[in-house]
Amino acid sequence: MVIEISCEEVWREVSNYLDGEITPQLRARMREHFKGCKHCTAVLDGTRNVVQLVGDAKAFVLPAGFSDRLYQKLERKLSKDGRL
Amino acid sequence: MNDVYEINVAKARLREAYNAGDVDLLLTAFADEFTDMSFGKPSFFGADAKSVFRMRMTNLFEQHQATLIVTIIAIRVFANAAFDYGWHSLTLTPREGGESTTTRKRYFETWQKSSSGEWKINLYIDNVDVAPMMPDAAMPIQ
Repeated sequence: MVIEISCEEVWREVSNYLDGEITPQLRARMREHFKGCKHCTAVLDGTRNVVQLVGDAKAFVLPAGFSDRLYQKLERKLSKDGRL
Repeated sequence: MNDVYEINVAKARLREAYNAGDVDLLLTAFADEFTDMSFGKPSFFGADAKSVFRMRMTNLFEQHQATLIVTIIAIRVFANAAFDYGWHSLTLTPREGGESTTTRKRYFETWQKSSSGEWKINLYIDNVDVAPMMPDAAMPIQ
């Protein structure tokens, strides 16, 4: 018998689920939950997409000079706010 | 084992009872005197609730094969009391043939931990689920 698991518990473990860092029992409970819960399936898909995007260097090729311009803007903003 | 896990186990047993058409197993999920506020039915309290529920479920399982999918949104425990809420999606297939019907209800139930440490449902209430809408969508006022 696969034991139920609540959405809240699934949300806490979804990242570990994707990383394969949970017990087989917990994995089975979560897999069963995803079958009946569109909300958690959306959370799972969204988290998986974020993990893939962050891990994919090609997705984050920045234009030349982007970092310099970003730092300059931040410095200007922080100076203006009196935080530098 | 912690209380949240124990309630998850009790809900899994309830699901299995539906899917096996096992009224006796199903009734073990409920306190001897519970309150039944199931949608579309009169409210029943105390010992009446369990006998009426037994009769209703016996008839249901005699006439249908049931498949229940439980989706628990959250479980909250306060010492020897707890509540949980979520959805029950129940598919009924007539044993004598015919179309299956699926009804999805949102439920809320409270639990009480007995002196022997078992969690039992002591109040059950549900109503028919409504498809999700955006907050600014025009929706019925009644």
